[in-house]
Amino acid sequence: MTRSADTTGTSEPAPPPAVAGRASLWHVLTVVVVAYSAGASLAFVGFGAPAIVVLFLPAGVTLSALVLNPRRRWPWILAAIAVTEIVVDVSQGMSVRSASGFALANTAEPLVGALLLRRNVPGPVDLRRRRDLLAFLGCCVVAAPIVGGAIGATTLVASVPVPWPQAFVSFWAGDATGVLTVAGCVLAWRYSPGRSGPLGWVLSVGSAVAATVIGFWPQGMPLFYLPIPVLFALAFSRPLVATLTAGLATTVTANLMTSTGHGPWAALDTSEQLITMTLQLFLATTILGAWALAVGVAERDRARSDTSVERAARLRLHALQVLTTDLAKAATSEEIAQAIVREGIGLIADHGSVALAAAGSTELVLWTTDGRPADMTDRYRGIPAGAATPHSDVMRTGRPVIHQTRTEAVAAYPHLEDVYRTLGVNSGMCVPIDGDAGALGSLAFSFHREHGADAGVIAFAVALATLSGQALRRAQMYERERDATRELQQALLPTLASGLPGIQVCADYRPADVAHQVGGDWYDVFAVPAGRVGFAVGDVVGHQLAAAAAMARLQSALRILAQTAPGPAGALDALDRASTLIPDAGTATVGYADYDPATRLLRYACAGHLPPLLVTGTGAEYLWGGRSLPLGVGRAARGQGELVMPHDAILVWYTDGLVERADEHIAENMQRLADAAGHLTAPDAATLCRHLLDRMAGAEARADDTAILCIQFAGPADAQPYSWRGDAPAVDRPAAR
Amino acid sequence: MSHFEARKIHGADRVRVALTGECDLRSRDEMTATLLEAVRASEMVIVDLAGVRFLDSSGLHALVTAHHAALERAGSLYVVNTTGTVATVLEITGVLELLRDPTQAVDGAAAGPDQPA
Repeated sequence: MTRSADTTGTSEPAPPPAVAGRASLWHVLTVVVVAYSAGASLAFVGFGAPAIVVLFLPAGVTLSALVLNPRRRWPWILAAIAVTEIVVDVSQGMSVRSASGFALANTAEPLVGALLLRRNVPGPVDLRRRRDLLAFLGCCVVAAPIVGGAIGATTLVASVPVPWPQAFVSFWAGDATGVLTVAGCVLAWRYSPGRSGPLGWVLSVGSAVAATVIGFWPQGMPLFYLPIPVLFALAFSRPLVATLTAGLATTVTANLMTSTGHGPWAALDTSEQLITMTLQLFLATTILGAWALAVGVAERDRARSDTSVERAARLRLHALQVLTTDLAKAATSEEIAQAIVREGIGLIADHGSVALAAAGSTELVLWTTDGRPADMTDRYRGIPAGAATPHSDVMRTGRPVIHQTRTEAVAAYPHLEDVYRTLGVNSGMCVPIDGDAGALGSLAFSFHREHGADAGVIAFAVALATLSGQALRRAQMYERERDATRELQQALLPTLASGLPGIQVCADYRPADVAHQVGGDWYDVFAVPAGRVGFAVGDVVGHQLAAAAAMARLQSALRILAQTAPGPAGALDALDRASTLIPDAGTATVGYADYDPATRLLRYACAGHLPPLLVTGTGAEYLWGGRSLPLGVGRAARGQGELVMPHDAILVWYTDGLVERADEHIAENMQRLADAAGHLTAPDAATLCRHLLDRMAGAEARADDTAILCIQFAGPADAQPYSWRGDAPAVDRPAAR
Repeated sequence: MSHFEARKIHGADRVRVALTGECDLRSRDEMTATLLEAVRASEMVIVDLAGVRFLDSSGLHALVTAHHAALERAGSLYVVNTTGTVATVLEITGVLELLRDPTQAVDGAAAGPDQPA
């Protein structure tokens, strides 16, 4: 019987829903008839109960067949059952009238059971769920056999002299146990199959049978409870279907043992009906106990996995929120890639990387998560175009690549096997970051576990790629704008006059690291009438192109106005008036000085600008003369300072980027600048320029533009013509930002 | 996270704007808007800089712009509680003279900028 039940269960392929659609009607009928007649014959022959059937396994066969098949097949199935029942009964020597009565009982019962169950559980019947289990027990195990029992008992009392109630209870108990064990088994096979190898099945069924045989062998020693721990252990550790199959095996074995005169029930000195009834009661109780335990375990596991799934989802959501904030702050592609690696990939994957298409090259630039060997980081820092890597393939095709095992991954990328082994990667996935025209880059996630790319992880990866795409598009626009602004700004910086007498000049300009703070700093050196030389430095408030344009206009205006102004104060006064006509000039600070090589007289004025630093052989000091309000603030009297320059003295003009830092006092930084300049012995303009920039640039990113202009006033001995130190026509472009 | 904040307190005949954090390019627009709103709301605006850690040329420009707006409406705007690097920046640029509380300007007559070096 165990085998016939197994046949019923495995004859159709495992996946649950459209059960009956797969197997043909003839197939189903054959299986049902074979299983039914085997069960019925077993009841007669094996259990030796020709008159009162005490364990009727076929009741479970019919019910399973109905539940698993669509209703249009039910008449065929029921008809086949009726015919089989009559044939089996008549062959066992029953009258056709009795056989017809039992046929009616054994078709009405499963029909009622299946109708009731389907009414309560329309879809798959998951016997691991409390609700489905109760519906199954109530409809199929308790209610339906009442119908079958009533018809069967009525048929029975017509031919055998037994009281109706006794016949009814026997009939009911036999059918109920049959449904419980067989239908429970089949439905578990169908709707909640567990993963288990053949060895597992042999072990679980074998141990149940062995425990039952041992438990039901001796009559003098009560060992009949031995199957209980076996079934409970299976319920705790194996899928429900294994427990129920073992329960069915136990039931069949126990009945066979008892009917062959073994075990404590066979030794009982009472009516056979009571013996078999109490035996079925014991078996049903044992199986139900194990079943309840299995349901409890399944519920606990489900709750546990729900919690862990929930926790993982919450973690991912939080990660996305943090990342969204950080991406909003990241200005450049580099910052974005770092944020994605740090706060996106690193949070859900064991390893991972971001690859971005390098600007103006076919190479991919890679940012990896922490925790991989340093040589590997270097080795994969850039990926040449056309290399066979997940990143390259995803970039080329625009489609994700997913490998759920290392074997799959190595099959696709054999040369990366050592990488997978070194990192302990067993599954991974790579998704594209979509741009307007093709992929902007790709995100790779690698896992130590197999099948790491589950649904939640894939959804996260796609969300991350979308976020990254938006941020990257913004950053690229921004970088283009910044580069254009910088280029324009550099182009707008004046070409310094050359061949000016008695001075050496060195200038440098470093744009802010924070790109949107590209401002309007400038410096200038030019000739003014009467053999003088003019030096200017200025800072227009504002950002981007507007400030750069205003800076260029102010610079030109100053060059022109200085030609006719009586001196620096006058030049700044004229520039202040002119600045009202220059759009976006806003508030600007300007320092301007002129120098007469013949008399070595320096005249200087500062419209709100930081004071120039005078560096001589004996130290450095700020020149605090000639101060007035910035341009564009309001009419103000402007004065100027005058000074005869010592030989080899250097005048340093600079903008606020050199000395202004958040959280630092500007006075302290100015002191630092003066000290740095004063400690240098006999510097030339270029050395001083570089030295001051190095000393004043903090470790942190420059938040503002920095311009510096050093003018060295030659001694009498080397009053040679003006000459340049430093590179390039106008500017020492910094090697590194 | 919030590197700049502005709070307005409306008094009977004046608005006091308390700024905190960094008055730089990032906060310039917010700072300018707040100050101009205050100037439109009252003839006298007092800008409290006690909580300002950093003020650069952008912040300076915002103050000057609001000052001009106040003058155009025949009102006035001045700053109080200037300390540390903020005071020095205002002094060096000469803007402190422009924005100083007129009732206190007298006793500060001798003041040149707090000159380093």
